[in-house]
Amino acid sequence: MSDTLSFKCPNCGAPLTYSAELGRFSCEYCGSSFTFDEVKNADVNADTPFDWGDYAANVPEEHLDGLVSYVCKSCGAEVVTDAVTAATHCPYCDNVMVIEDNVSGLLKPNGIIPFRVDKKKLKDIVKAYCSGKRLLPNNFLTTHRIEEVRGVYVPFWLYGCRADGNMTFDATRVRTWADSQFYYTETSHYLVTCDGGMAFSRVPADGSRRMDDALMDSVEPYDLSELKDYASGYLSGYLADRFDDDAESCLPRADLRVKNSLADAFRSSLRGFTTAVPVAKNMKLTDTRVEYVLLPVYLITASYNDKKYAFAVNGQTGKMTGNLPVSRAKFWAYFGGIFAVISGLFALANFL
Amino acid sequence: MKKIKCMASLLLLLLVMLMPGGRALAFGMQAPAAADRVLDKADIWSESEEAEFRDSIEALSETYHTDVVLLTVYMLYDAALGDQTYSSAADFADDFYDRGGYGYGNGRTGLILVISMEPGNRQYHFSTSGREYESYSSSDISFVQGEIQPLLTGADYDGAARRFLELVKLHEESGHFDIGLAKTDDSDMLWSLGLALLVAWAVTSNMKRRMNPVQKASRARNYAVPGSYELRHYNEVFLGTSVSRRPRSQNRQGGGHIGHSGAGHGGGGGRF
Repeated sequence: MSDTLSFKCPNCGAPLTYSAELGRFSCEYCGSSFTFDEVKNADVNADTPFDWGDYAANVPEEHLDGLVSYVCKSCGAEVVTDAVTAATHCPYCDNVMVIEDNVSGLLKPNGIIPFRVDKKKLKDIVKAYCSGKRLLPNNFLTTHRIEEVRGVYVPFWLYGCRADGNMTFDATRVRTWADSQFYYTETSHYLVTCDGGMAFSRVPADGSRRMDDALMDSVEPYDLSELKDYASGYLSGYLADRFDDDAESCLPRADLRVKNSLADAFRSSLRGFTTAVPVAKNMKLTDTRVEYVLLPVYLITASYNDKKYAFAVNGQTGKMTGNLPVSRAKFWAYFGGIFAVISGLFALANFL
Repeated sequence: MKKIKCMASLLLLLLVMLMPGGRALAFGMQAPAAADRVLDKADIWSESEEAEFRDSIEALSETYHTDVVLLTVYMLYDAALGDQTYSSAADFADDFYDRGGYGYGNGRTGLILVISMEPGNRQYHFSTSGREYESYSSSDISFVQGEIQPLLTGADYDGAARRFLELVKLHEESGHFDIGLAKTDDSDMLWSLGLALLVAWAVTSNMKRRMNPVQKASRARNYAVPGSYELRHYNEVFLGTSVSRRPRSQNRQGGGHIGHSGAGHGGGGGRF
């Protein structure tokens, strides 16, 4: 059984265990041992920021599957939860439980954006999101479809890097003219090479396997200038997870976005070409930096026709996203209506 | 008394104008002789066919006060038009009509059908002038083309001339081609329906896409450090140039054009 508060190794941040034989706290990860006073004075929970390199070097393998039990400080009940849960509610007394093991020491986030959108406003946000969606089934909003609303701090990786590379395009300039007999098309072919670079800061990618990557990408952007130093007090009243998808496995998502954006910049540097087809591309990322942050998301689950629909609301900006059900009847009604109106207009034009 | 004479003169003039051929007489015009309006220089019609066409042209001229010319040539050349071979049957038809002095009245109303039998470059063109230039719509021209071209392609040269004269008469009687319009309407209607389907599908698909906005991000544009883009090297290597051309008209020609004499012409044609 794990506790919701434990001492951390001042050297590596890993949990310390007390050895009755030695009368000291010892670290299984780095082999160090400390007296109680040394551990208490180190106060690692307050000062150690997350460092991916440090983490990867000291905690090469983690087992995040399965369940872990914690003791509620309020009522003393034993609460069983996922290994990645960082904050949850006690099912017996509804007290907020911050699982310190998952947000402290080596796992202490670099920053957090606190929830700014009040949960009470979600009803209006959902209503605004659904308005204007003409293919939405009529009874989707009128009936009680929303099953669950959760405010969750989702673990995100923020990547900073510099992207450099070169790109080659097969480009053409086309000129047309005509005389009395022929239309002429002159196509001039060029091989265009661009070489350059660009810096990126805080490209996000969620580090939670529970979250749908596309849903988390769609809930962007966050105003990352409002990142605050992590403090567990922010988690009060909300759920939170620690990452279970590490920074290396999420990097390809950021890598793709960064390289595509550099390719776009190269393409926009081309001037006066009619077509430009990339034929070769060589890019690399350097000076890669990783930050580990918790970002606020309201997760809304709704059901319609026995199918679950997941929505996300950016807890900072209130931006909502999620796929809505489509009414087949409405789709074909609109299709038929538009077809009939346009056909009618054409018929009228022909008649006149 | 003068008023009565004046009124009588006006009535007489009105009656004459209402009689067949009266308008030409009223404005001091003679119906042109039909002999030089069937010119079979390529020798593709028999003498009896030529006589038949002349009779038809004479009847058209008398009844509808329009001039009709049928001309066949081995190639688009005529000494009367100068020492040049035309590449365009439309230009040749216009110039032959204008410089041959054809046409009714000041507007020189009439039509000419030119059939060129030049090996490897067989063309036909019918040119409209004066009142006919105004009265033949683009759908009328397309209809005539659609009727004449298959006959010429099938080497039914007398049939093509005969059908042309029938169509001229039909057009004079009704002012347009009912059958042709119906065909055009059908075609237009199909296009309209197709376009309406396409627009309806595009609009509803867009509405459906708006219902499914969730997708993985593929760009990091919002996270680029402002001003950090640096294009260190840019090079354009010219590889070569290719020029292609396509004829302005292939099987069909149509629309208005100006002859070398400055007169406006309509009509259409093509190759066969």
